[in-house]
This record gives sequence, structure tokens and C-alpha cells, in this order.
Amino acid sequence: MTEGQPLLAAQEGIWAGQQLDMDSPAYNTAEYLRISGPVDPAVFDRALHHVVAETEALNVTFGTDDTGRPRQTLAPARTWHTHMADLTAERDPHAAALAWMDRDMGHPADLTRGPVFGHALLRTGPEEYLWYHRVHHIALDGFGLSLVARRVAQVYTALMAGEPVPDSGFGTLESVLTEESAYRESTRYAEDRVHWTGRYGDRPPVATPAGRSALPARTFHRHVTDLDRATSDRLRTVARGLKVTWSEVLLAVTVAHLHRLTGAREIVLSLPVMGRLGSASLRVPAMVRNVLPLRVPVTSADSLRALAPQVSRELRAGLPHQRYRYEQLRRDLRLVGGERRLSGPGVNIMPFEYGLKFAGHPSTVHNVSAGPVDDLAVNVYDRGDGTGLRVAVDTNPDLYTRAETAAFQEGLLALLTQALTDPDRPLGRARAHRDILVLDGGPLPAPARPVLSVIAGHAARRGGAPAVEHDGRVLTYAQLFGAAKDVARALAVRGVGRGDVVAVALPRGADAVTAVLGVLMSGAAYCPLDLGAPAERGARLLDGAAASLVLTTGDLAARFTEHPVLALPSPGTGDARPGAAPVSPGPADLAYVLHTSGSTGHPKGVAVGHSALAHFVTAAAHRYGLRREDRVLQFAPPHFDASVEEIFLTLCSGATLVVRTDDMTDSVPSFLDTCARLRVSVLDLPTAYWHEVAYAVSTGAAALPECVRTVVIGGEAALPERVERWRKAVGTSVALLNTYGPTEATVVATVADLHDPGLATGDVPIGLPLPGTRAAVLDGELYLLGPALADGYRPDVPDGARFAPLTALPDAPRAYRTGDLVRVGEDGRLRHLGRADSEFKISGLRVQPAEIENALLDHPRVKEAAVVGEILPDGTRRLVAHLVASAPAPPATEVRDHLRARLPAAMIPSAVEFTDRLPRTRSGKIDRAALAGPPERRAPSAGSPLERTITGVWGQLLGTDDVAPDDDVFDLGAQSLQAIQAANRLGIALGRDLKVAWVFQHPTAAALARFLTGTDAGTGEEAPPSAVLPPTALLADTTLDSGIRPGTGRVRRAPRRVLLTGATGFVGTHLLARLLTATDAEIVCTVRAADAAEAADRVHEALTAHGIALDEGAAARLTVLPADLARPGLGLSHETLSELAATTDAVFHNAATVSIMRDYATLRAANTDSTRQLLRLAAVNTTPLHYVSTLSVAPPTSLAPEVPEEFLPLHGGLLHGYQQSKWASERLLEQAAERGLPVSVHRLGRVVGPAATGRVNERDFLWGVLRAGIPAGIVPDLFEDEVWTPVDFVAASLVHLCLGQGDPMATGPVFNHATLPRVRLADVYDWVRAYGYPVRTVPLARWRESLPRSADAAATTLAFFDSTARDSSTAGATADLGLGRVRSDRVRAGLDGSGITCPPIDRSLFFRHLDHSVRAGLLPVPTPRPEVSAK
Amino acid sequence: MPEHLTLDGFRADLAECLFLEPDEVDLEDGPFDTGMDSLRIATLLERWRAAGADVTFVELAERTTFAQWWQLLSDRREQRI
Repeated sequence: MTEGQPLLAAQEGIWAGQQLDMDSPAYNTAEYLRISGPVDPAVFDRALHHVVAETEALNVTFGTDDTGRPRQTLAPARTWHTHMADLTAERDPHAAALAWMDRDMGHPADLTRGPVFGHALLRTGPEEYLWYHRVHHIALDGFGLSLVARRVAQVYTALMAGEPVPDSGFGTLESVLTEESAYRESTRYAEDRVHWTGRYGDRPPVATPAGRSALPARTFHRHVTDLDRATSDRLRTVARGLKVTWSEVLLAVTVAHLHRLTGAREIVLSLPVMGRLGSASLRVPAMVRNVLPLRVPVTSADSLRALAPQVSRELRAGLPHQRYRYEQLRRDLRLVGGERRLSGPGVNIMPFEYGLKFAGHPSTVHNVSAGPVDDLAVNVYDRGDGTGLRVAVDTNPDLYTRAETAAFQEGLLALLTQALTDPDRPLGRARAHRDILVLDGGPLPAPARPVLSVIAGHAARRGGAPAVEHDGRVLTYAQLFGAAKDVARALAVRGVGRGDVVAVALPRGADAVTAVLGVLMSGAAYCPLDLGAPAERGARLLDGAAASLVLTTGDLAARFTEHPVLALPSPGTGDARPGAAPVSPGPADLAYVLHTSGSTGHPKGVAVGHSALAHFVTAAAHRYGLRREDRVLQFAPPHFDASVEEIFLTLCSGATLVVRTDDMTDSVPSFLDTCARLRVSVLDLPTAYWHEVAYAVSTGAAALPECVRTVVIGGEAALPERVERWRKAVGTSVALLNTYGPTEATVVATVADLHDPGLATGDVPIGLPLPGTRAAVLDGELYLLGPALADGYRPDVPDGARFAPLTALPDAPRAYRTGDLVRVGEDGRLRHLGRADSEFKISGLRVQPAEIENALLDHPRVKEAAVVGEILPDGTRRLVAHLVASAPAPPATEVRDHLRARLPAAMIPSAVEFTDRLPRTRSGKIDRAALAGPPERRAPSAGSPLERTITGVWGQLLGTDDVAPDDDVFDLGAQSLQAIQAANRLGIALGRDLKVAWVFQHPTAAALARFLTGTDAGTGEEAPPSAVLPPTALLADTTLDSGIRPGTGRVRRAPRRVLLTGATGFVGTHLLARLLTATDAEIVCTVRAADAAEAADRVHEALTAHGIALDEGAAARLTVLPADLARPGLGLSHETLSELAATTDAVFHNAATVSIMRDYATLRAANTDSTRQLLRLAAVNTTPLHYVSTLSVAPPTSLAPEVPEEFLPLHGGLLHGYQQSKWASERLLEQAAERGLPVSVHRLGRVVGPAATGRVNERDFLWGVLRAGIPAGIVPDLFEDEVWTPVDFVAASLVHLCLGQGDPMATGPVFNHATLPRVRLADVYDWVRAYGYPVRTVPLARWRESLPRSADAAATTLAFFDSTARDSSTAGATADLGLGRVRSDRVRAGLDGSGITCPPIDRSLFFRHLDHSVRAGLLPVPTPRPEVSAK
Repeated sequence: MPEHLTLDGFRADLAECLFLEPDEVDLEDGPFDTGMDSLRIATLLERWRAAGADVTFVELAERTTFAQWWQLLSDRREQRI
């Protein structure tokens, strides 16, 4: 026996993986051999025992040394048996065998005790046996399994022949360890390290179909398909032709398939390798296997012929270095923890058919499980019967659904078939399948006329009509035209004309309009400058646009010292200087250059020609229905393209442009008032501002003036919620036009009538193209076509490629690719889905932040919302919601619950941040870049106490003082083993269970602290770690073991034996009494006691204390078992457990440690694990289990208006350990119910003394309050009302519902025992006063302060209040206890006709309780004596 | 296809696997260093067994030069003749 030797490197990796989830069976690997021929089971069993005994790796147990490092001890495996079963009587013996294997695989191995393996010999036919062999991956890898299988065949054959068993030839684990340590000291190791760290030093991104990572799950999905023989043969033939192996062909096709799914330019695969070539381990059954990363660049043009040799070269370059451990490489590259990964999907090719014979009878081998699946793995096996290959795609269920698994495999095999048929065909997505959809705006209503000639026409015919109004000043068309002509002349004098660009640096106003027209009349194009922008930006734009001159005011002229300036009004050049007359522009000339902030952040000058402008104006004026009587507000400053719409549409329609003054938008009401005063009929507003208007109008804070007949909005997506508000407030008589268009397509390309009464709620289309414009939708993206497109960019920019021929259409017309994702609805109208570049992939879903924002804005208190996707340094992707809320801001949990009801889980932001205002860009759009900034690094000394505890532990482990709360410990070099140590030390430091996986998933102290305190939403609230358990952790802790499933069916009969837990408690004694009277069954009570005698004493004491006397017959049916529910196996012997499982007809699980003080970690064993264990026991025989729960598991009324008779999802109201432990039990029962186990859950409110006797529950919290408060003359204001139930009534109801005639399971497993009217606390205190105790009701805080601390009865109560006060100083206990409406229809229906009723809980019943309390000395004798006590 | 196994044939088989010309194969090279993987070894093994050499995967995989492979194949071939 060797004491504690180190693990092999590969074993350490497995050991660390198992620590992430100690109870996971995922590391079980297994295969079975189908033996065709008779097998002698006894001899086979001998052979197995012989081989196990001589295989060192199977005779080990694992532990840790003082430093937490794992060690293995070689010691003979504990006694084990081969499972022998003859399944030939089953209808489908093979399926029965596989089902048995599946169950067996669900049992996690106990590495500390062993054995780490299991064997079964299952007879599935007269001459067919399946030998099943399961081994924990820490002991053997696939090659090790094959060595053992070969040896078993050899030994069995020898035994059957009566020959001596030949020597095994197995080497020792010691020899492998020695070889491994020699390797680590060798130059070879150093060379290998250089190879890998060089090849992967850039830490290539890892693309997977799921788009995220997860820790290995306990199970995996597997989709199996057999390649037929022809395909398998073709695979080998094509491989030979390409001079590669067939496995390399499969690798190449997998790479191409992943490329098609992810679009990634490089795929990094994970390749398990044997790692034994040239090594002593070739003869040692052990875990040696390694994983190689394999990176392959790929494009959609690659054919198999191109890709396969590339794969082959890369693979052969890596294979000589295959001994270098994958885990070590991850450490070298700091790719540990969080969502960092070195490589992606696995491809595991196992070409070896064992070809083993058992005493001459042939066999084939079949894999059952290859171990846990990180992401996705393609496994290829030889079917072994000469018919070809088997492809099994395994996936992690946390990342892929079954359907996705199947789809992946089908796609892979289809691509394989295609590649084998034509190795030269590109493997990327075929373009022929692209669908293109074209929407046509139809012809222009009239020929597009140049804007200047249209305006000149108005000046000539209606010269006196008002053209522009600004701040009380009116310019008629004649005046405007004349002034513009002056400007044009002045420009001409300066030699400016066609082909030039003139910068216009003027504020919004009549002068700006005049200047713009003047520039156009000069033949030049205008380029409006943003006066609010930094001078440096202005100068850059001027240079970029190659402006010849700046047109500005005298005040501003000083800004443009580097450029020629013309100040307005023009300094009386007069109309002299003949020969310098302006020349009218032609349709091909530029009209304006307008700057947009490109996606790169650098402004781009969009150059729009006269022809495009004329087309747009003609189309839009028609579409908007502008008339010369209209008064159109100019809202936009000149450098926004909305101003183009406002100025030219208005002037070309002969209407009046009303220029807004700067102070007009101080508030929405004053804005609308001014619009009314100015008689504005058409409002053209940026959507962001319109959102404010819509909100104000909907709340009545402002009213839309009656003169407004049309509102045009545009600039960003209109929020459905605001559209609804608007429609409700304004109706559909005012036109609301939603416009969409990039500057590159001349202001507006599509328009939708949002006032259309036919639009569904929440539907906000962007409509149809303007006349003359076409819209094409290709791969979801919008392209625009037609004469209104801009000429391009000035100066030209690298992404000018956005203007390009659309080859998918006949004749490849010029198009502008918008970058906007759209959908065409059934009505043929376009819907905007978001920006192609803001799309964020998370959890495999493509998420448009706008969709989440819309859902957020549905919340009544959320005013503004911006959701951004973040990729943290560790690769973790998360969504962050930034909200502006009306005070008081809703708690983050409420916001997320709100979202949960509307969106898939992956779309729920993991952080919710509240802010006073959202950052906006200069154009008023939400500045997402500013929101997505990374958090600042805090100093190591900073952080909350919990964060400092975590950084302190990491500091010790990493040997540094410099761990800051936001540092990613894996960036600092932390390794898996240290993460395991950190979890253990933190668990001790914090006095709670802390899973290793959490440390991996939350690699910064800040994130881990947020997770542990359940304030993951970033509310900044910090609860003491002992008081609050993270809700998500609670969820993780309540997975019902997969092995707990309905066992053999059972016959329903009158119960003969009932198991009851918690029989000594207040409810328990009454339940016991009721069970004894209502049935003839033996009632077995588990009682925590040292021995049977003590247990019996405790039950009888409890019965006596509660005034319950049993008659002899009943007493004879009472059996008391000493047990401890907090211990494994309930503290009962194996035999007792088996016997109970076999003979019990019903289980009533009522036991719980009731403590409002203790945290979940300390209550878990008694309150939650006990449920798990009882479920395991009940499942054996499918015995009904009835669980006594509490209404305090329900969310308070602030979170849910109603408590349904259903299982409850995790919610924020689970503040205390007791509530959490009971909720956790219910969660286990919920899973049991889903699996078909007969369970029921009974939620009780405050259980008060029996109506019949007036006794009270002395240990009840409220009686504690009364006992403390009555002597002091004060009682606290605790809550409004509560559910009260007398204990005798609830016991009778419960027993009836569980054992009565009806089938409780048929009506659903959850019952709320809340049929009686609720009791108001004010009434209770009135009754107390009427009884003769003069008490005053005071606020809780005052009550607590005024009460002497020594009041012994209230000690617990006070401590409780202290603890709740820490959680929430204002809400006090109210939030804990106030429930919404409690449904109890099922209880009512179940009791109907049973005769079980309850007297009302009224003053007379309460007086009986008080009488009892006085008699028992719990309360002082009241003075004066109550006048009604005798009644 | 059980052709008689010769040194030239052996070299040609290796060359095919290693993307080399037969005379470029250095028999002092090891399978491990040349990027030989278990599937290639298994493929060669299949071929050589068909040609009459009674060798196992483990026997090939544990040898560290091609010269040792040829020695093993020659021994086993002779045994069978």
C-alpha cells in the first residue's frame, strides 16, 4: 500500500473539474461490449475481479494534503459486485440494458472512498451479452479502457480454457509518474512550451455556435447518426486522393461547418490525443490523455481540397508537441476562469475497433459516454461490424438544445456529403440561396423640379406671401429671394460659383435660410457648420469639404482666421461689379455637404446633388401633404439634415417656415404653448424630443395645440410605448408620420402613418419608400436605391463602399447599404429592428438592445432606458441596462422580474444601473459608446468588507497585496487549484457554502460579492453575508439529483404505514393525533434522539404539553424511530431505510428547524437536504410525499399581488434563511412533481392554538411579541393583516386532503391553507385591550427602543427585529409578512363536503387563547378583570 | 493486397504518410517527431498486417525510430515465413 502519491497531470485536470461540482456524475465514462455468443457469468465475474485487482488505476482513492493539493492512495478497491441481470424477458432487452446503463451513469463516484468503477453483465439475448464498464475519468482514459477490455478478454478466455492466466504486461503508475516528471525537467518540455505559447500567444478568439461558454453540465445531449458504408468508403477514398487521413477530412469539414455557423475567420478546435506515443504509458491503464488546440483559418471560398491539407499541416506541426499539457498551456496563456478559452468544439476520433474475442466469441465495442462536454464535441467511432462509421454529436445542455444538437449534426453530415461529392466546391454558404425583397415607392407624382426654380416661382407669383418668420420678424418670398440673390452676388464677386463649397456658419434663423438659398443661387454647394462644435472639429470639416469660403456673422468671423470669410449681412457690395453674375446650378451639381458622425466616430461629409434634393423634395412634399397655408416649424439647426426637409419642403410648397427660438424648448408645455401662439400646423421633430412631447401630452402636463395637423418625426426609432401614449392622448386625427432615412439617401427614404387606426398596439413601422425610391432587403439588411441617393462622401472615405452596385438585383443598380436591420411585415411595410453593428450576441441569441429597451419602458416608473452589451476582460458577455426612473426608483429585482415576464432569459440584463440622465450625443441620440465604458479600477484597499475579504484570500493565495476588487484574479495568474483553495477558504471565512464554480464564474471580487449578496443588479445594497443567501446560489443548490425518479408502480390502498417527521412540534403533534384518529395505519415518527427510549419520551412529552391524550388503540399504532434528518440517510441504518422505502404508504414531511435568526447554510441540512433524502426514499416505491410548507415562501405583495397555488419561482422576497430553506424544499418537490412523483405541498400561515381548547403556540413569534409587549403596555405596529389557522383545523384539513377519497395529485400539488378570513392586527390589539391590557400601538422602531432588553420572552423577537432592521431600515418587518391575495381554491374544493370546518377567529376565540395564557402564567392577570372572559 | 513486405515498400508507405519521397525518409527519425498520429499508425499497421507482419499497435507505438519499426516488422515477418 502506497501512501498518498501525486496525481498524473491529466488526473489533476479531472480532479479540479470534479471540484467545480462535487456531486456531478459527468466524469463517469463508460462503454459496453456486445459479445455474440454464450458467456459464463461466474467465470466472467472472476475475470473482472482478476483484472480489477491487477489494474493499479482502479485501486485508488483520492484526498488532499495540508495545502489542498490532491493526492491518490493506492489501496485495494472496496468490495464490489458485478451487476448481473438477465433482460431477455424484457420486451426490448437492448433498450432495457441501455436504460439501466443510463441510470447507472447518473450516480456520481465517490473519489474519497472508491470504487471509481462499476461493471455489469447484462444478458440481452439467448446468446448475446453486454458487458458494461464504467470508470471515472480520473482513473482511465479511452485508451486505458481499451487496455482493460483487452485484458478482460484475455483472462476470461484463459479461465474458460482452463489455462493459466498469462501475465498482464501492465506497467506501473509509478513508471508513468516518473516519465512525466522526467519530461517536465527535459529540454523537450521547454521546446514544446515555446511551440505552443508561440502558436497561441495571440490568444485567438474562440468561435462556437452558442457564442458563449458554460461550465460542463452534469449531462449532455447526444445525437447519433451512422454513416453508411458507401459514405464511409468514399471518405477514405477522398482522403487518400487528398493525401490526408480521413480524420483530417472530418476535421476540415467540421471547421467549414463551424465557419458557416459562426462566420468566424478562424476556427479553433479541441482535439483529444492519446499522448502515449513512444511512452511507457502504452502498457499502463491510466489517465494520460491530453487535448491539443487546433487553429485553422477558413473562408467561405475554401474547398475541401484547400482546407484538408491545411488542417493536416497544422495538426502534424502540433503532434510532436502533444505531451505538453493543455491545462498548463491555459495557465501559460492566462486563459483560465471566467469565459476565457483556448479552444472550442471538440473532435474526437476513435478509429479503433477492439476486435476482442471472449473464449472465441466475437464482440463489438460501443461508447456510452466520453466524459463531460464543455461545449460541443463531434465523436467518430468505428461501428466495428464493417458497415462504417458512427458520428455522435455531444453538446452541453446549458448551451444547446436537443434540436440544435441534431441540427448541428445534420448540417455537418450534409456538408460532408457535399464535400465528398465535390472536393473542389467552396464549403461556405452558397450565395444562390439569398432572398432579396424589393419595395418600390412608385413613380414621382410630378417631375422633380430644381428647388431654386420652384422657390423663384413662388417669389414671382406670390411675392408678398410670408416665407420665413423668426422671432417676430417676417420675410416674404420676394424679400427672401432678393436677399438670397444679394448673397449669391456677393459670393460671385468673390469668385465663388459652381463646383465650389461654401461653409455656412450661422445660427438657426432667417439669415441662415437666406444664406443657404444664396449659396445655391451662386451655383455653389453649402456646407452647414455646427456652431457648438469645438473649433478644431470645425476646422477639420472645412478642410475636408474643401470649402472656398465661410459665410458667417461679423461676431463669428474671428473663428475662421484660416479661411476666407464673408460676413452677413454683406457689407454693401451694392449691385455693382457687372460680369460677376451668379450662374445657376445644374442638376448634376452638388447642393450641400452635410456631416454625419459615422460609425467610426469620424464625421463624414455626405455630398448631395441638386437632382437628389429635387427628387426628395418633390416626393416628400407630396407624401406629407404640405399646403401653402401650412406653417412649418423649423426645429433643427442647419447642420442637421432635418433642416433640409424643413427649409426646402416648406419653401417649395409656398408655405411659411416658422423658425424656433432657442428658448422655445425650455419645457414641453411652453414649447407647445409657443407653437399654438405661432399657429404652427406642421411640427417636424426629432424623435427623441417627440418622446418627451408624447409623454407630457399623455400625462396631461401639456396639450397639443389645435392648429397642429401633422407631426413628422425621425432620427431614431420611435418607442412603441410613447406611440401608444400619443395615440391614446391625441387620437388619430392628427397625422403622425414616422420617417426613416440616412443622410446618404437625402433626409428621408421611408415614411409610415402612425396615426393609422389599423396599426396594432406596439407596432411601429417605418413604412414604405417615398415615391421614386426603392428599398431592398437582403439578409435582413436594408439597401436604398433611386435618384434620391447622395453622390457619395466628400472627401471620399474608406467605407464609401456602402454605395455600391447591388449585384443581387438585375442590372446591379447603385444602392446604399444602410447598416439597418429591417423586417417586412405582412402588410408589406418595413419595421426597423436595429443597427447591424449594435446587435449583441449573448447566450447564443442575437439581441437588439432596442427590444429590451422597449420592454423596460413598459414599466410604469421607467422613463428612459438604454441597454448596452459589454464584453468584460475575461470574455464574459453581459447586458447592462441604464435607466432613468421616476422617484422612488423601482428595485432592480422588480425591473428584472418585469422583463422576465416579457423576454427570454438571455435578454435580461445582468446589471441594472440607475442614473439621473443618459448621456447623449450632440445630435441628441443616446451615447452608447459613453455607456459602454469599462468601470474604473479601484484601489486594492477599496471595496466593501465582503470584497476585501475576497481580495484578502486571493492576496494570500497569489502572494501579493495588490488585488483590487475589480481585478480579474485569473488575469493575475490564478490557477484552477488556487480557485479551489479560494472557494474553501472563503467558505470558512464567510461561514457559508461556497462552490468552486462560483469562483470561476465570478472572477473579480466585486462580481463574486455581488453574486453572494444577491445584489447582482448593482443596486449597491450590501447585506451582511450571513443574512442573505444569493438567490441564484439558492437555485444552484436545489437541483434534484437525476437519480430520484418514480420507481416501481404502487397500488393505492388505505394506508397501513405512514411516516411522519417533526411529530414533536406544534403542528406535528396535532398532525400525529389526527393521523392516528383518521386512519388505522401505523404512524412511524422520526425523532431526533440518542436512542429509541429517549425518542419515545420526547413524543409523549410533546403530546402531553399540547394537551393531547391518545387512547390505547392509537398509542399502539405509534412507532418512534430515533433519527436525525440533518444527517445523510436521515441518520438511519441502510436496512431501516430500505424497509421504510418498501413498506411506507405515505410520507408526511413536517419537520423543520424554525428559526428566523439562522441563515440558510445552517438550516439547509435539516430543512432542505431532509426533503431531498425523503424524496429519494419515497421515489423507490413511488410513495406519496406530503410536505408541510409555509406561506412565508411567497413573495410579498410588493412583488406579486397574488399568491397562487402553484410552485413559486425564485423571488427577491426570500430574505431569511428559514424562508429560503423552505422555498428550496419546495423547489425540490417541484422537480419531483415534474418527474411524476406523487407529491403535495401544504403552505400554512400563522398556525394558532386549537379552536377547541384555546391553547396557544408558545413558541410562535406573535405570542412572543405579546408576551414582551403586554407587560410593558406597548405593542408594535407590524403588519396590516395575516392568514391565521387554528392547528386542529389545519391538521384535519391536511390529513383529509392527503389521504381522503379524492386524489390530491389530480388537482395539482400545491395547497395554500388560507380559507379563513384574514385577521387584522388592529383587531387583535383591540381584543387585547378589551381583555383588560391597556396597550398602546407604537411604531416598530419605538417599540424596540422602549422595551427593556431583559424582557426574556422577547429576546429572540428583539434579535429578529435587529436583524431585519439591518436589511432595510424603513420597511421593517412589514415587507416580510405582507402577502397579496392568497389563493386557496384547491383547499376549499378539497374540503368541500368533508364536514371539516373551523369557527371564525374572533374575539371570543382570542379571549380563550388569552385565558389559557393567563392560566399558564404566560401573561399577567389583566386589571380590571375582563367583563366577557367567562363567555 | 498482402504483398510481400520489403524495405522499399516500408519506406514508400512511410513516405506516403509523411508527404515525402521514399529516399527522403530518415529511418532514424521517430514517429512521434514526424507528426505521426495514432490513425496513421493504425492505417500502416492494417497494411503491414495484411502483408503478413504479426505486430500490434502498442508494439509500433512504443518504438521511437522507424529503424526499430523495420526491425520489428522484419522479425515478425521472418517468424511467419
